[in-house]
Amino acid sequence: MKFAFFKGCKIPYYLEQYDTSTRAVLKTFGVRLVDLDFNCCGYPNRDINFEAFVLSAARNMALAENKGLDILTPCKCCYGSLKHAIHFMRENDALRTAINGYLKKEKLEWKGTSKVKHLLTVLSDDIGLPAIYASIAKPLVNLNVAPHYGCHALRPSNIVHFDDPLAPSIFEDLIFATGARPVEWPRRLDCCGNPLLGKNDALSLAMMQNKIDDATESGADCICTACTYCQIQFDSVQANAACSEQPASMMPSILYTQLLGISMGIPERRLGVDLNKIKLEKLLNM
Amino acid sequence: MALPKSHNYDSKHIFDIMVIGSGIAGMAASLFAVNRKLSTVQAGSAGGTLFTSGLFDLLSVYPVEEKKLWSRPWDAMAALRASGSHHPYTRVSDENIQRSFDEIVSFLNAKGMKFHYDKNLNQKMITSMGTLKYSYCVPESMWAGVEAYEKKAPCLIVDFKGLKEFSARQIAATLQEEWPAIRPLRVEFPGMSGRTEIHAVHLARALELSATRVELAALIKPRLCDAVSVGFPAVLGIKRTQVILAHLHQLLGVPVFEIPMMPASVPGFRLKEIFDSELPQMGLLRLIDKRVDSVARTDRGNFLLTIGGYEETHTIQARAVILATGRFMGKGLLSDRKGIYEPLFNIPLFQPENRMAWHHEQFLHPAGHPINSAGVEVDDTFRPVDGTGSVIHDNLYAAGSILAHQDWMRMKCGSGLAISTAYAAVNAAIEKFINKQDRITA
Amino acid sequence: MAKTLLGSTFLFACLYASLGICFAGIMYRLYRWFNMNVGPAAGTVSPSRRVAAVLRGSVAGFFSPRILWLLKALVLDIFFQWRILKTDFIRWLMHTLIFFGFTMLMLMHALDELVTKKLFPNYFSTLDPFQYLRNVFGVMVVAGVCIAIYRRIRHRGPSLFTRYPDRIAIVLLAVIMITGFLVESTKILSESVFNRMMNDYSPAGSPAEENALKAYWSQEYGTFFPQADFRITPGLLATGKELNEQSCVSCHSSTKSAFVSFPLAMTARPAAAAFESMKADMMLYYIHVLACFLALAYLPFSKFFHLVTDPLSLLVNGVSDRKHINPASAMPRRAMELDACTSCGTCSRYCSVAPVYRIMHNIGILPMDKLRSVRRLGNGKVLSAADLAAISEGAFICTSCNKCTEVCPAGINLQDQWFAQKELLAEKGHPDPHRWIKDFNATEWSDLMRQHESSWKEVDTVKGRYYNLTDDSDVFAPCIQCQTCTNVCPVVAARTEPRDAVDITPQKIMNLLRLGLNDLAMGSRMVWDCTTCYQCQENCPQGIKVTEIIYELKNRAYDHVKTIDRTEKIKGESC
Repeated sequence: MKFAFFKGCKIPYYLEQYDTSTRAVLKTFGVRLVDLDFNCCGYPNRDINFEAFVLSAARNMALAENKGLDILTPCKCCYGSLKHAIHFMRENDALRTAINGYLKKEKLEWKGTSKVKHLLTVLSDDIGLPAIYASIAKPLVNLNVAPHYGCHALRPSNIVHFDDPLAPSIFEDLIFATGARPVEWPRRLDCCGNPLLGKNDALSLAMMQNKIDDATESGADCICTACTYCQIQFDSVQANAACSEQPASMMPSILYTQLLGISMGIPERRLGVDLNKIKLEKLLNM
Repeated sequence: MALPKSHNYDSKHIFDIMVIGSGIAGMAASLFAVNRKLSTVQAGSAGGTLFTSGLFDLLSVYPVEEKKLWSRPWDAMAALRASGSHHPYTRVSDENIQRSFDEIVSFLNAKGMKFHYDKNLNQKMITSMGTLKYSYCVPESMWAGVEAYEKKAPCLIVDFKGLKEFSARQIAATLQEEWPAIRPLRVEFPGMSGRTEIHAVHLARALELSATRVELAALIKPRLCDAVSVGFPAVLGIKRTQVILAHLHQLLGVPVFEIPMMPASVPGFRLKEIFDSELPQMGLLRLIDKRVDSVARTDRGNFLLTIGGYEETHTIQARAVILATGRFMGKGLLSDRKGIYEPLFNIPLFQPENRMAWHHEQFLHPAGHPINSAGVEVDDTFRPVDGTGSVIHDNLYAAGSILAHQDWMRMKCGSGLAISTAYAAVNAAIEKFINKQDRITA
Repeated sequence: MAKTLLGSTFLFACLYASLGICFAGIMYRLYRWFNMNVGPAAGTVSPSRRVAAVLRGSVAGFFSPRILWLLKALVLDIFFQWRILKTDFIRWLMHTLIFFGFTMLMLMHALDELVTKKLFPNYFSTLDPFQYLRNVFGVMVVAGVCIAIYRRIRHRGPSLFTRYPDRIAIVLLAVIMITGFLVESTKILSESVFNRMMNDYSPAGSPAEENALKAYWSQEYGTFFPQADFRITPGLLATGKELNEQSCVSCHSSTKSAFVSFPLAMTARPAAAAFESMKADMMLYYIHVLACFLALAYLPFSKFFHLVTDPLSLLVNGVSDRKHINPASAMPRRAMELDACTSCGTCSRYCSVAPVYRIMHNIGILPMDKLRSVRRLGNGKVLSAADLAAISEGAFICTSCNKCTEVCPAGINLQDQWFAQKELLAEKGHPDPHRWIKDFNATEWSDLMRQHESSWKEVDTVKGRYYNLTDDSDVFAPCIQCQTCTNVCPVVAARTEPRDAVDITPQKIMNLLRLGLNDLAMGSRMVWDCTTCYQCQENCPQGIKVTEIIYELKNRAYDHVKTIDRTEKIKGESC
């Protein structure tokens, strides 16, 4: 299996461990990741200029098409953005023509031949749950994990085609495979608040706190994410916000690739666990 | 057997039943189908069950012209059957109606939304307007209210500043004469002070956190006085309602209950949450917000439905289809200048001659309007029939409010109609169709 | 060479003048590094504190284990230009050719008295291998310059804008190189140069011997004797060769080893008489040397200064912690980095949001040009509102992906420059446009829009090129006001400030659109606090694209904002 690896903008500087842990985990399943000269997925610019967003997304997909590769992204916002661009370009001929006009200057063209997949889909469908179960060396029994779905992969379902938008189960299935117990929590499908960071910090933190309170009350030891932005929100943003208040009440957040990696027996160093701002002691003591 | 999942189902699979529509009828049909181990797929928009009050009516008004209220629903049913009406109820036996209620209530009870009903009685309960309402099957969260009203015991009705659809003062004022011991109280909802507008669902979700409940109880407790129960607007959680009820009971020392509000209300969200999250786990494949674009039939008579989407068009093959798309709001029926039509299968409809005949001259005419009884006509096994009474497709069924000869809003029979016709349709499909072929399941 | 220099007091004076200018220029640059305010809260850190912080930082860096990184930076990044090789081989080739060619010319040729002669006591500029090598190095530089010109033409456009400093640098290099070769060629041809050498090195020759030598040089070395009154015979040549070996070869190799200048001279031979009469060799020599002096004097003010700043930047950023920035030492570092930029365009080529430029045409989006705006801001230039708005747009479109910093061959911590710039812009009243708009409530925004109607009407002509959700009633008319969108909205639920809470909820936006009050919808806090979680759209029983509508409202508002003088509002507030 071979994919063009679309990291997105935030991973290299803010969340290196997502890159390393994803590579470490996928390598054991024989998945090859190819790095291309991708640009921004377009998500951050969607607020500002629709056309700029579609062009950004389309360029990335055209690059992957050139190499005949499907795209794998670990970030849900990148995933949503690319999927939206596909949708809009299929729906709107004028838009597709215009975007391909821009791409032509770089000798690129968007044809729509490359698929865009999120990491969780690749793990659950392409690699398959049986292979994941088979890879578990150290089941994480006694760990209660609250899966945080993340909005942009899940909704709008008729565009992103990720899972049932109202009752998704892909994340629980994958957490269950690691031996951990997926926690049922009322706000599992809510937004983490990160899109408002820097725009309305108070609101962003309030939304995050609501989710954390809910996870705590539902008996979670940690939140598990599979999205760059969500992880940044629950890890570094929470740590920064809490350092002045009560650090004791912090809810650790772990990337799914780290969780899976640990249960597979991959050394923590390779998974970048020490780069997480909020340490998950229960996990480290396992 | 691996359950079909929205993200990786096998597109070659032949489903036993496809349910089109996601209102109460669609959800009930899906539930009955998965309960009977049929491989089932459902298409429809999200939130079809939102517009229910959370109460399941059976039948409390008949005949509509007389606005006659019945506290014994089966007596009303007998009157309906005796009158020679073509109401869909007349095609389902009392026992089967009862069974359909039992089945859906036992499902909801098991999933944490408990219901109370007395087999032979409609319950009397107060509404957010302070008026009285008859309903058959009442959520447990409202049950203490039914009892409180019956006993007319001292009761505190709490409302929240900014929650516009619910006024404790209005309820108390309206009920003052028959229930003098009722008393209103307005508080600011914890964490939402200073807001001029708050929304029921947000309160419900906030109450799912125990800290909010403790704060709220602290506001109410000192003002409790002689009240032996406390009524709230229906905002006690979308999930964990049982826990919230018990916790508030413990904190306040008296039982608490909910008063139903206008749709889309919190109990509607509760139903939606349960159906949305539980049915897929039981094996239902849900295709949300993917409308059925076109319908064709295979040589063997199976339905081939094309499900819309720009990226991938899904084709679903099913042995039988249950049409539960509702009337105008659910877009099950559409209208143009000539009249109303059913867009998907183009089923001929029972409808007034022309648009002029849709409504009575008086808007508030007690008998309702002819258009309110328009819809799909069916045979005794709920298969749509044409004007001559012959079945259109032997494996197409209809259920719920799309059916003709009923005015559920005025007869207060919406939920019962939806549930019992879905029950009848699913059973008929098994009986008449699926059992007769070799079933291949994945 | 030095002798000749001494021979001309003029050139000698020029040398000292240019050295003086160069020195003063460097001092000025240094002074600017510690006084330029690049970054937020600049006024609060005095220059002396900056100096102290830099010194402390350097000492700390020097005695930390990171010193190994310093070595790595020195060898790989500075000497082998590893960072350029990683991104672009052609550019690396160009840089290596120019850098090594020029450095070697400088050491071996320009500073021969100081360097080469010390190392090789037998050194003569006309002797091989020096003569040969001079041509080799010269060819290297010329080839490099050719690649540079080719690159700038081939890749001209958003990622590589060529400006005056780039042109001047290339022209200056080209002039020095071409005149260098021409000097050598004209000297090869020149009879007077031959005569001078003969006087210096074999003064006692008879006229016959002189003729023999001349014949030999004319035949073999290409010297042109206009009034040659001898016939070249094999005998004469043999004598000439012998004489040559006796008196010349010890300090003059065959001119043929000047493999560029010799053929050049041969092609120019027909004009040799003219060259001779106009003393072309001297003229070219003056141009050559003066061009060198000009380059020297111009060094601190030109792109050439990156010879100093780039290694410095690479070293500083090689040892410093990029994520934890000390503001006192960061400011001089940032100022120094501004001087290290060579406008090579690598950052713009790899910039994550570069495609956005192609739609929005704001040059401030591209990092290479964004750095120029940082410099303009740091220099304290008074910028127009339109400039500031463009700079702000560029600054806040950046996704902080760190790619520019990773690829910058000069090792500039661009990411940090952007962080600093964003904060500075916010201080100046040009924060993230999103934040700026959010300060209005719906009514204020609507008023503002009315006030500026004439200016944004024009941009509205392109609206709805692909979608027109906010003006098409088919899109929002099906709304039945059931409030499901509001009920599932996490933003409405989590709002804590009463001021925010008294606002428009999603279903009210649909209502406003129905009423044609798009400005009011656009200015509502709901639109600007939307997290785009798509709950409303997913759950809408009528299938209305609520979130897409909100996105479009934001897009339109941004288009309008661009036409508004944002400083006006700030003025208005202060009164």
